Amino acid sequence: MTTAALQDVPLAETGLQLDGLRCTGCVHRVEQALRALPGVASASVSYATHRAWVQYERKRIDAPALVACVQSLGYAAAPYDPETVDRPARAHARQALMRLLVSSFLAANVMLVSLALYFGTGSIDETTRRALRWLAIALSVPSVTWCAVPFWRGAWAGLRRRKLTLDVPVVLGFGTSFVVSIAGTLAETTHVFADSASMIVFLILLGRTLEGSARARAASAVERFVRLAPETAQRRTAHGLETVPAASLGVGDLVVVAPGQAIPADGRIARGATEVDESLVSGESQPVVRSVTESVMGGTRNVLAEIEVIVTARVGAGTLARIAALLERAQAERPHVQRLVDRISGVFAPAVLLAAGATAVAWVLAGAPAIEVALIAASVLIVACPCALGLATPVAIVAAIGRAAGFGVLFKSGAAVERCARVEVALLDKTGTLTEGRLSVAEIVPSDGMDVASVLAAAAAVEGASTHPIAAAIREAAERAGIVVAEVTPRHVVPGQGVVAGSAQSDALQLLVGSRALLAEHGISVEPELSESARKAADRGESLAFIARKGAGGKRALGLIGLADLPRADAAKAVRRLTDLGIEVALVSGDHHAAVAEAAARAGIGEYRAEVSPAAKVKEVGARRIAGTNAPRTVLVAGDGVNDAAALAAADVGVAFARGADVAIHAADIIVHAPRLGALADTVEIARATLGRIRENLALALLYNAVAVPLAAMGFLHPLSAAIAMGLSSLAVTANSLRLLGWRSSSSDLGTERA
Amino acid sequence: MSFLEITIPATLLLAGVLVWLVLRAVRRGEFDDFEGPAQRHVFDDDRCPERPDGP
Repeated sequence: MTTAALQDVPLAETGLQLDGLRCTGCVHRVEQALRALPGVASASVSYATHRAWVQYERKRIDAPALVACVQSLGYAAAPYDPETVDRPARAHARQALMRLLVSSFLAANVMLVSLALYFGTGSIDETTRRALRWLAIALSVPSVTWCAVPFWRGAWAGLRRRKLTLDVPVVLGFGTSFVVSIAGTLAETTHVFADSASMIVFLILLGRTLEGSARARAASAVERFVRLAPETAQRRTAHGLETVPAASLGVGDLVVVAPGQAIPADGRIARGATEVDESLVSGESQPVVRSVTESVMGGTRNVLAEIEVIVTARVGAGTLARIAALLERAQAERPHVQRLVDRISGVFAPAVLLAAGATAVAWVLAGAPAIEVALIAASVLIVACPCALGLATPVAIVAAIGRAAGFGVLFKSGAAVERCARVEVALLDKTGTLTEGRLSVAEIVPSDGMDVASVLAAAAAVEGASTHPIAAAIREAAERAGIVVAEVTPRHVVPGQGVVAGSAQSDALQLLVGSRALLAEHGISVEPELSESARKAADRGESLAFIARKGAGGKRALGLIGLADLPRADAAKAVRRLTDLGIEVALVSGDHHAAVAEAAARAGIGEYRAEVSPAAKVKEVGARRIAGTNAPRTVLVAGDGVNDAAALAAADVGVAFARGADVAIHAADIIVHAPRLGALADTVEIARATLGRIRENLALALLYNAVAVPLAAMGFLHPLSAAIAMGLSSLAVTANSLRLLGWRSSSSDLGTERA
Repeated sequence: MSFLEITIPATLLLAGVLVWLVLRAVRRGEFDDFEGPAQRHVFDDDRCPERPDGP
């Protein structure tokens, strides 16, 4: 790779969002492969963000070829624009880091100078003392200005909304320390708190930076899921097929959708017939048959055969957009729950101001000189400054977010941890949440003289390598049973009915897998016992696949396979754990009554509602919030589909499973990528442990104040003891929070699965 | 205490240079990825890798 030779050629650059990188070895493989491509000038991959950054010659290679190269290595990749996605976030992170580093340097040096002043009382002459004081003050200047910009901004924004956020007492604390230090130096007193000012700024910046980086990690993992979604469509034009962004499709455009792909926009089928998996949008767990002139929804998945679709609504105006609008409204209506620390600082800030005022009044009444009164009142403000209060929440949240990521749960924000700790009601979606989200073989009923294994083997042979959910379920069951699947050709797919395999010549052996209607069409009757089993399975909400043979030896139904979207293996246990945590659990689904009732029964959920529309789900959240009690209850919604997105946003805590729809992942506060429902109970448990820890931290911080403030008010407080006490309380709070890193779930199956 | 008049400015100057170096490193993206580079040398061959954020 000769960069020099490429210098005259204008280079294009693109970012690639990657997934599937397991170690830095993968990073290396991807980099090497990209660099080896002709036309690529440079390629680098960040393991932290899972992003690649590539410079290339537009004439010799394009972005899809880069993506294809990465995909050929077995990783997922999608291009994105680094200008809009990466740069702002990175610039922000870098600036935060710079403020932190500079403030740590200043705090350490100011502390050093102050220590010399505190301990060298006898040995330093007055001129030097004054010089050192001014030095300490000078060093604090950048600390309380540039480094502290986020606090000034936060306090100002809070005050404008008439809210006392934590930023207000923080600014008050370091601001007064700084002003008092100048006044004290001018008045030649011992009240010099320059070290406190820079220490407060440093410690609280540290807390925030930690929380910010934990959040950024979680957020980038979330983005990984979302950005990998295909946002392109294959449009048919006079010149053939072209790949275009889905958002640029217009009404009347003709798009080709291959089996396995998502339909890019609402439309009508112009050619072909297929089955469509609408589960992400409607919650319906079975694919539905769609053929020419029938309409299909954007965002649903084509599972069977290639179709051509005439677009009838732009991406921004279709079904998905309507759900997005519902989602936005739901988000706006969500009650704003104030964070614990903000609630405390709302009481704390006025209380401290009051204490300082009372102190001043008392000393004036006692006849103290004005400058002395001002300095003592100011020391009350300073020692009360909530350093430990500022660290109380972030460190605990960081530890909890880190620990939760270890078992496959991503909190999108610290506030989500706090809300999750207060959950009293959990509404679960069926498809993809309570259940695996895909069909599996629930039962196999052989006819007389047949056995389970041969029925399964025949069915698997007929289904072949099809991507249809029923085919996938049968294949998986066959694999699990250790059956070697034979290949049968030719295969003929009848949308909505099934598959016929084998030559159509009169005497040749043909095998059929499909509905009863398919069998009837071929003149195959079903024995009464098998019919009875079929009726029972259908009552349980299972979908049925009959297996039959036809040929020289006669026609015969060989057996029946019942398929259902089964609850996750640990569903019943997880529901019991949630109930034990005092949470009211209910199943709310858009699916049919029979399927929902069966799933609820299998998982041990007493309360369920079926055929609930997205808008009704939002209403259900609101109704449960105010039901039964006078204080609003905290409602958790767990789901994975587009139809759940609005409910996820409306809930106090939205939990999405990582294999769900992008919009659900966007709307949720917590993403679970462990394939266990038990992760939900773990999440609530760790959130409760975290809130407990935060409460202890706040109590510790307030205890420190309870001791230090009266001493300061009486004028006994030496700045050095104030500094030491402040450091100790911060350390205690940090150590207490870090205990969360060793948190263990009450369930024993945790720990084997680490993300 | 005349030695302080020399040592303090000297220390501050030195510290200033160090802070400037650290800030430059941050701006160049040396702190953007804490995990990758640590293991990178194991896989790298003789060529120099590009910096994570490019030029």
